[in-house]
Amino acid sequence: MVRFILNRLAQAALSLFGVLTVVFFAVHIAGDPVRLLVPQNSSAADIARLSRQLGLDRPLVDQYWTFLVHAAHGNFGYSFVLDQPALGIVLTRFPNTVELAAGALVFALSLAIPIGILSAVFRGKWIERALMPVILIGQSMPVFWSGILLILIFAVHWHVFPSSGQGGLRALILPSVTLGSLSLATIARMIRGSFLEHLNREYVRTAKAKGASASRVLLRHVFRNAFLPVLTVLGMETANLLGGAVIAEEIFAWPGIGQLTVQAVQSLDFPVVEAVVLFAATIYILANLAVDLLYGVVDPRLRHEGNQQ
Amino acid sequence: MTIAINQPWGPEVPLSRAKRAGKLRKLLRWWPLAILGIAAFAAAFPYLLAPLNPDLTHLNARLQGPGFRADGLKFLLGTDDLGRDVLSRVIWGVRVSVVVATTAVFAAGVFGGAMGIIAGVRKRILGPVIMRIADMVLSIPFFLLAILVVAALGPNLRNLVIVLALVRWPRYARVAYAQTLEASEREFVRAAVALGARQLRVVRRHILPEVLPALVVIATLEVGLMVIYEAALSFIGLGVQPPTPSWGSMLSTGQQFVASAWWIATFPGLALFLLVVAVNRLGDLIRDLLDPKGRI
Repeated sequence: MVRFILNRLAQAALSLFGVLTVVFFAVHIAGDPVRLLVPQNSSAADIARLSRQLGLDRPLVDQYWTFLVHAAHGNFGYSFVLDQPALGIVLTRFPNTVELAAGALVFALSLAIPIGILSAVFRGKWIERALMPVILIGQSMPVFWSGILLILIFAVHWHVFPSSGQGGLRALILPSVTLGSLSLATIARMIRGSFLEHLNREYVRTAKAKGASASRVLLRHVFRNAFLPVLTVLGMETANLLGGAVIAEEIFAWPGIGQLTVQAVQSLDFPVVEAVVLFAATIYILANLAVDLLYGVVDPRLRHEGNQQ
Repeated sequence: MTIAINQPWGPEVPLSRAKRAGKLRKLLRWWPLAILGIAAFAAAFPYLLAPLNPDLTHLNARLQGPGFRADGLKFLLGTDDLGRDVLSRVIWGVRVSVVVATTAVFAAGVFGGAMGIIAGVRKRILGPVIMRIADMVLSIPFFLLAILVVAALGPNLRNLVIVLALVRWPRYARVAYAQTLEASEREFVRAAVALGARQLRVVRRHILPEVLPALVVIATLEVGLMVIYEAALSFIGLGVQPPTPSWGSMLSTGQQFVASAWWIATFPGLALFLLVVAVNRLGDLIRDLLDPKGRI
């Protein structure tokens, strides 16, 4: 188990290093930000001075090294546009992303669990046939279309919910539904698959033979076993949602880190791009790591296997 | 006819009719092919289907609803903010989606598949290195990665394909790697190696045929995703640049006018949705055919 944890930690560290490298080089072939910052008719001397000030005239390897050292300290420099520490901007935006992710997950789980279980238990019955299209639609509905449709119906037509911005529970509902529908489909599919696999197992037959009620068999016996693989998917979905729901935030003008990414990329605001992508990647990698480690806690068999190795 | 015809004690049903119904139902399962056929035709010959020039602006017919007539022209699905025909732009927009999605899947599949097979054959140093890189790419939130790389390389059709292939190849590599390892243990591969066949020949004649079906299954499941990502990148302005019609950029325009002109966003979105549903459903059908045990 210790070895497994160390292995996973090393892998996570390696991933982070990879992200750092990719981000640095991608950002530096993107173009010269100085030209965007200075007025149009400024002299070559002015441009050179500003690039020196921002450290953009030094050799690339040199800049890369400084970047790594600074990144390790959480220092990504100042935003070119807002003149504030880049990481600070990301951190002020992050709670909004968390709020949206939580909303989306609550929506997704509250529907995915019943849909997944019912479609597995009633396999081949009309209930399954009615539920499967929900999954297929959720999986195929592009977020940016469902978002616009929801705005059209509930904000423009019926005036039930606000069409954009943040503020209170009412503003959270449309973005959560939009963002959560893809997770809903993925999780429901996973639950269905896992339940189908477990429903024919011998322990289920034994439990039934002992006279346990159907609901007891499902909830106490099958659910505990079948939910394990779902946990992995759940972790990945959480990681995805926290990593910045770029499109959903863009549509609903939700001030999270996804929207920040788009704004920063469009204005070539290097420090913020670096900070936000790295931050999101770190969250994503850590969330996945947490799921893997959690597995050992939830499933004692894995712990045992690890000890034997 | 929902009578249980398979049960010997069931009521008598004329067999031919039941058989025909069964056949028809089997045939209807392939409905995605019809949608994809239309999409492929529209992508190849958009000028045959589109009623008007998709780039031509009609300044006296801006933001007009479906069925609007002006200058002796009929705008069946309305016009956008520049007075361009929405229907024609939706039809021309298939092109970008289909071209980007298929080439990106092909590029990622070939590259990832090759990497996976190499990793499975060269187990010492090269293999672990390749798979570590694949794991690393998979552990980066890939929409962010895609945004970053497109922003760096500049948004155009070619770069869009490169980026999508770059972020998706590990998925194929993992599957190809697993299948190669499995195949290497099979007796006919061991026999070929024992007979002195060279590695390249073993890979080409014996391993590749084992790996290919798995790659095809992954590829069909990936096409829908690529269609969505192309549209998503176009939606935030990092895809194909205007005036080339693309569903993503049409949706982005549509969002600006959502309160006044619902048709601009609704129809390209509907087209996108239908295409993705059809591709995903076809992917499931192909998986059932090639991988009945659900191993992949």
